Amino acid sequence: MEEKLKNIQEKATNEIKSASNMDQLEDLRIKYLGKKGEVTTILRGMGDLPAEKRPVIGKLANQVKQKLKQLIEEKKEKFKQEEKNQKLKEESIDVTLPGSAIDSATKHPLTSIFDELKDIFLGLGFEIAEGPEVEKDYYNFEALNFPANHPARDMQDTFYTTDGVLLRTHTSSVQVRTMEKEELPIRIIAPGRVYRSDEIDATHTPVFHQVEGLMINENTSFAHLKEILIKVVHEIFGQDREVRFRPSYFPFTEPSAEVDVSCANCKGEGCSICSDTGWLEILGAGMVHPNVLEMSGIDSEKYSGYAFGIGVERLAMLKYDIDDIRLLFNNDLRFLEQF
Amino acid sequence: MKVSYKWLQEYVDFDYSPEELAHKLTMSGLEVESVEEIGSDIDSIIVGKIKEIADHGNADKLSVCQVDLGTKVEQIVCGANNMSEGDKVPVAPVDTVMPDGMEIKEVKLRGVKSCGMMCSTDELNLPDDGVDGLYILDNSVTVGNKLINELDLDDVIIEFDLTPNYAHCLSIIGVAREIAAITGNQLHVPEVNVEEIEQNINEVIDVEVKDSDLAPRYAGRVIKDVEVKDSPEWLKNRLESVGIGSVNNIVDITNYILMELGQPLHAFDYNKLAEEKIIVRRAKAGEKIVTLDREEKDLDEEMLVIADGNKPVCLAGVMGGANTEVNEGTTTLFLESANFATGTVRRTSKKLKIHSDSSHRFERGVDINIVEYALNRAAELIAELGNGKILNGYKDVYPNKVEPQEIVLRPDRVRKILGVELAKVKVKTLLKKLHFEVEDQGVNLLVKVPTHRVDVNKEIDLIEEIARIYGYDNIAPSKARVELKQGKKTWKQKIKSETKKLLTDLGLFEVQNYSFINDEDFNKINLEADNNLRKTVKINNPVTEEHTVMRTTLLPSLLENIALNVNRGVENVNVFELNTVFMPQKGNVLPKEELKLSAAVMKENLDDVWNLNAPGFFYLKGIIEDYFSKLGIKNVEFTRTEFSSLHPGRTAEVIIGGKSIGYLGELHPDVQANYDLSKRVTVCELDFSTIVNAATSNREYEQLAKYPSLTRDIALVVQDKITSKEIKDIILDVGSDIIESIELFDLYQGEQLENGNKSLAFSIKYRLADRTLTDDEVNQVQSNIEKKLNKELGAKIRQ
Repeated sequence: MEEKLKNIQEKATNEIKSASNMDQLEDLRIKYLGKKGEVTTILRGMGDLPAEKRPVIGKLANQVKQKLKQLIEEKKEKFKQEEKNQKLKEESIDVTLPGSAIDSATKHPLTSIFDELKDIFLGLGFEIAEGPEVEKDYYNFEALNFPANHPARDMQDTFYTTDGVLLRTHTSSVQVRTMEKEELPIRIIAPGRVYRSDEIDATHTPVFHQVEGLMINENTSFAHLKEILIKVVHEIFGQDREVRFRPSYFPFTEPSAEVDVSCANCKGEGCSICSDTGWLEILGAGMVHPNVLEMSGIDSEKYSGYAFGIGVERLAMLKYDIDDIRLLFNNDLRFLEQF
Repeated sequence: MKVSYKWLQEYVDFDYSPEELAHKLTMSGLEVESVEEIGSDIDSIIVGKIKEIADHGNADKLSVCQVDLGTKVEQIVCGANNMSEGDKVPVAPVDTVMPDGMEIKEVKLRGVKSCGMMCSTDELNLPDDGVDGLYILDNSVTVGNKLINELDLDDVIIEFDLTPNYAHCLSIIGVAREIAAITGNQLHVPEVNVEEIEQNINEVIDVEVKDSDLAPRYAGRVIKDVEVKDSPEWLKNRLESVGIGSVNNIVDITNYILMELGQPLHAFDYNKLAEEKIIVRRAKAGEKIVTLDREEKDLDEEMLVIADGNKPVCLAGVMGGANTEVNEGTTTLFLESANFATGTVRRTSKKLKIHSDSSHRFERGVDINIVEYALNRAAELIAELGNGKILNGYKDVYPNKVEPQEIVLRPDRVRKILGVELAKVKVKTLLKKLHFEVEDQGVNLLVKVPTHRVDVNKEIDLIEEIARIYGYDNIAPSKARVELKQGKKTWKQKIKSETKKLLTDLGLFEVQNYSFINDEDFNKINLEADNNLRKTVKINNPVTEEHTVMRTTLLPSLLENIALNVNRGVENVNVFELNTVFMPQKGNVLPKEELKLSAAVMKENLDDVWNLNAPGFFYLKGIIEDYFSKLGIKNVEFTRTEFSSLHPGRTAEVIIGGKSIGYLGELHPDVQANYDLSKRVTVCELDFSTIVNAATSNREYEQLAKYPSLTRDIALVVQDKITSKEIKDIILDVGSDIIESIELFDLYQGEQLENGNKSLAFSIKYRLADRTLTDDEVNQVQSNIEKKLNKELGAKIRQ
């Protein structure tokens, strides 16, 4: 009997091994382990064996049964795996086909620059102030130390609506409105739209945008102005760029400065982008003129402050390599979708 | 302003190359616009002497010249005929490249060899000498030398873009003074030595200043027996180099002094002055003057003029009159050197639209104490170059002498403003470099400001001077000690950013348009004649006719955007703009400024959800609904309305919380045609402030449903005029206690229905939060809904 079981095991093992699909395997299971299967039959016939043989044969028969069961399961598992792999293989696709069209659009590049500047200055503790675009001469010029009939007014060609009312030529007008109503110290930026009566060409546009900044506190100095603007320029253009300050003139600041950043294209050697100077002019700044503080009712002996103005179009053109300012206002979707 | 590098060297010593100089001056506040080498294009032209002129033989108009070039004699065939043997002329030797690019080669002209070319001024790009033919040089030039050296043409011209505060640098000597401050070197001021004849000026002219507030100083000399003629080459070239054309020796000398010293001068033909009088007065109403540029100008009492006994002869500080102009017939001059108030010159110049070198300087301020020196220096040059005889004495009406201003400077204030530890003695040194006299008063300094520094009037002006001479680069950045504060956006600013993000995510491109439109744009969008949007803020001085009024609506700009894109072949255009519109308001000089949120879409292949051939309308509506929902805005309604720009049957009023905030609709076909658009366009324009107020960041979490829902569909036929909203309202009215949601899932209008009817199908989901609904309960409500729909709307329920 033991011999017979061993033979069955050997034969069944070989047959299971050579089974090539699920059906064959199922047939084998029935053949050996089914109700009338060879192993089952032996187990059923245990009663016919002498009593002393039963435990030995019983144990052996069960071992064979377990072994075959396990072999069949393993083989089944293998077939399942193969089937799955086959299916996955069949489902393979060309991953280089284009993705589905998603209907999302883009912000205007000027908005992106505004967002970047706002983030930087909010992080430095500045608030965002706003004011009207159609403005009184007083806020745009007079209170900023541009006396009537002064050549400084020629620096900014101005659109007028009625007597004493104009389209603001800079967002510096917001400075004055803020100083009039806010408590000290003041730390604001004033982003917005400004106007100059320039003919439209590749570098001029009658409408453009600025971010003006103002800080007023006790003991604010030119050295502080340099610190913050260098930080901001590095934030915008990268830490490796050099920043220089050179004297300039704005009626509402004194001392005044133009701030240049080293040209990335030529690394300061001079090229067509920087008009051979190695530097790109990016913003104007200075210490708030005592006349301006006094006109807004601030004690210029106790308080001092700095102000700066950044041209948003200029920044966008430098950052995105835009060579014609009109592109920013044509709103050609082929241009806008690149940002 | 243009400045000659060579000219500068006459007044101050410096070792800088032109580029170094440009850099140094830029860093001290004189912004350099360009640095240009002149003469480099005629560098290889040399001086030749014509030794012999012979006929060509084969050509009437050509002659064959033997020309001495110093090192050799060359044969040159020439077509000009204004030269004689012994003349010195500019010669371009073989291999020279001319300014126009032509290369000179050895050639045979009608069989005769020619090695080089003799040149005219025109061929060398030099100022026209008025001669037809070769440029005959002064006999003093040396044969064989470079022309540019002999004529002093090798120079570098630096052009500055000076800010209005740099009035003191509107002259060669002013820039030289800056260089002296930078280098610490001495400034050389030319000495003046006027030789006068016996006759006294008082015998020949009276000078009366009636408005000394407008003309604080008025001086003049009389010079007789003057020969008015061409200027010598050096003078012509010098003026040419700084961009001033030569007129005659007298005018050129006044311009030379203007450029050298910054003092505008004017020479009158003395014999044309009526009654031997100069009167400085305001113009009388109705008076006119023909200026030197031959334009007649009407004068008014605000303008200061120089008059003779009976008429204005010059606009003070702006431009002279043609009636007393110096020309070849002039023999006696009255030479004016004066100082006029900045305001009066600017007003006159602006009003008459005359901008001259003189008005430019007077507007910005000229040193009142240079008047006498400039007058004498010009007189001396006129005597020298025009053989004039200077009458004894000069007129100088200067009732209130201006002394150098004294300003107290607190070194402590300097340190406070600049943030640099500058010692008092350092401050003193810096100011002295700029020719300020400084007196130490212990704690403070008393600074005397030279009168040429018209821009320095206050302590802060001195601080700026100190900073720029000390060097902005030398001021070390330092961190401010400020209160820690977190910058925050206001709610409105937040919603603005959020709006741009949401709408771009939803597929609309953000555009930025100019804030101006014109009245024609209102016609283009079919706005009624009495529509309030036509009440605009007008631009007084528009640059173009397209930009004459401030926008009251963003719609025209967006439609232009679509038209532009279509013209350029972009077929799908879907844009929005969030920007300001301007409404005039009574009782306020400033208009009301409001933000509008507007969008326009023209898009192909959109899903026509309701089969109404209105995919654009429901696309934009869907975007706006989603946008509102993301902002937490509920109670939004769209009701039918009409607006002349839009399709009368496809326009909705957008309402938030009962308040109308604008419209959404399809463009009227006429408007669509006005913009040459072949496809339908849907637009909206919404009042942004209401959106900001309605938006909320509050989101309240609702318990996720624990009990199952029951869904029932209801299909009904109603008349076309019944809106889906009316049906929904009735459904909710009946069943709001147990209805979770209602969704319209089908709309049909067509053949299978009676004319004027439509069929709608809704899916209603019922659910309670605290228990399971029974079928009976739901069936009861559903049946009540059907009854009410039938009763109130005449709806036929389809089973």
